[in-house]
Amino acid sequence: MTYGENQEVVSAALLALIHARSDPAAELGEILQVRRQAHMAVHERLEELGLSRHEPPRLHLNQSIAAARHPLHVLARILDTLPPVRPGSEPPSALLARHEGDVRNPHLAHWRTAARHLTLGNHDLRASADQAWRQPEAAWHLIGDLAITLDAFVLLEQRVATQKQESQMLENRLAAGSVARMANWHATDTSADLTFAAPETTLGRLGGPRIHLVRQPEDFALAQQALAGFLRPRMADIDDAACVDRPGLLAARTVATGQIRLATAFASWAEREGEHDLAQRFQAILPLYADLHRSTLRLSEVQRTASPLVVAQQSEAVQQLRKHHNARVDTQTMHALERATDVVAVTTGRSLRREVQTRRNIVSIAHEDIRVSAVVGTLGSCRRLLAASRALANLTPSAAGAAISPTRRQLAESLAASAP
Amino acid sequence: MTRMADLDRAHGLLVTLCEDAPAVSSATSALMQAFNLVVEVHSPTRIHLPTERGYAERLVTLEHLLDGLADSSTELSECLTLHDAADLVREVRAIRPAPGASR
Repeated sequence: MTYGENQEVVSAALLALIHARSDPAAELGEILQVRRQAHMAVHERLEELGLSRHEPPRLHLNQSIAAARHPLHVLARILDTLPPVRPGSEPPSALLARHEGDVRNPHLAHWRTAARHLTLGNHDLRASADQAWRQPEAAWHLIGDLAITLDAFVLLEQRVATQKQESQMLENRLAAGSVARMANWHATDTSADLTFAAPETTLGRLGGPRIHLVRQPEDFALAQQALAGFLRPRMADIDDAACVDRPGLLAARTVATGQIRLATAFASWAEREGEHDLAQRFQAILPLYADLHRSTLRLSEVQRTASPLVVAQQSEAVQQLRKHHNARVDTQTMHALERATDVVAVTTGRSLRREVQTRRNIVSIAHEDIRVSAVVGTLGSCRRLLAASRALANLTPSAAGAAISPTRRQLAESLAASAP
Repeated sequence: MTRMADLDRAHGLLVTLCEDAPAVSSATSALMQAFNLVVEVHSPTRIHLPTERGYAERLVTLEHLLDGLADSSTELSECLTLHDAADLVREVRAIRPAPGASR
């Protein structure tokens, strides 16, 4: 499961708790313990997002200003004001595991689901192949999810709050709402939804980067996500003087050729399942990649890029097509494949544009001799490559993982309509 | 002709074949793959445009060139890569037979 899918499950569980007609009657002790795990998972995520790395505000700021400047501290403060629960004797692994008895106690089941998937979401983020979600635009998306989750926690606490606690609850809900609003304004990149914990499959020894192996057709979506992760620009690229990991012509050509093969196969799978719209969307990508490849034919590089991770991951997926070319997959998997394939296209386009525009490592080969656009300072010779990259980067429908967030939206609407 | 000149020629043939390829098909995809393999072995500093005009004619020339280059290669990885590229060109020819080929 990806981070986005886990957060959807969390939101569905919280929605069910909000709409539950009665308060829990049985197994209160266990509910409190499971709820404590959920609170701890939220705290863990705040830490992952950098809570301890940022200085807490020294002055008492106006609530809205604090939400804008110190969203993590505002959320941490809300979490701190929720009633504490003493740790019980059961370990988290036992508390978070599925229990057969939960069928009889939906309250407990929903809290357990929320706690489990918050924890799994943390793992997806921490163990992802790249850490692209740490980029500010993507991090705001995660902060928004946390703000809504905490708002729901406060609303659920409010039902059992004393009169004295009510003003604090109101303040908390307003603060969570302000952070959610800020996140909504700033979260321009929802690709963090596609983050997943890369399996422990390593390329090379000593725990090298993770290549996702394709064992079954369902793995293609995860392999595509891993590929997009390797294509994404990283902070380390700035110091990568040897161009080892940077995306360049080799990556562009390998991805273009490989994605044409994959998208053709995915289109035929979708067609076989009667998903004609999906099949058309896969087919629509083909000319874009053909253009990208064509645009690189008369280009070369000043310093050759190697992109070993991109090449290895793309090659793994293409090789495994031989085994799975007649695969039958369900609709949900087809949609996951389509989203992941779009993300690869958008990421390829964005990364190549960035590479051409900022590094000027790609040059044109003329008929007579090499002409180095980097030296003459023109991007003219790379114009076709830029145009092809732009076409991929602008692939919008479900591009960049345009977040599968119907339940999160529903939870946010439900919270907005629930008066304190 | 030197080996380098043959590699330049093969590269030039692939550039024009890929540029002239029709809409995306399995043949286009195989040609793209063949181009990727050849530039893995040889990265030219200039493009030698082929004298052959016809698409099928260029495919035949390219196949012979790649076979010859693979057979004369003294390095295992280069030899295998060029053989792979030649196989891909054969695949393209099988999809789209050269004019005059037996039916």
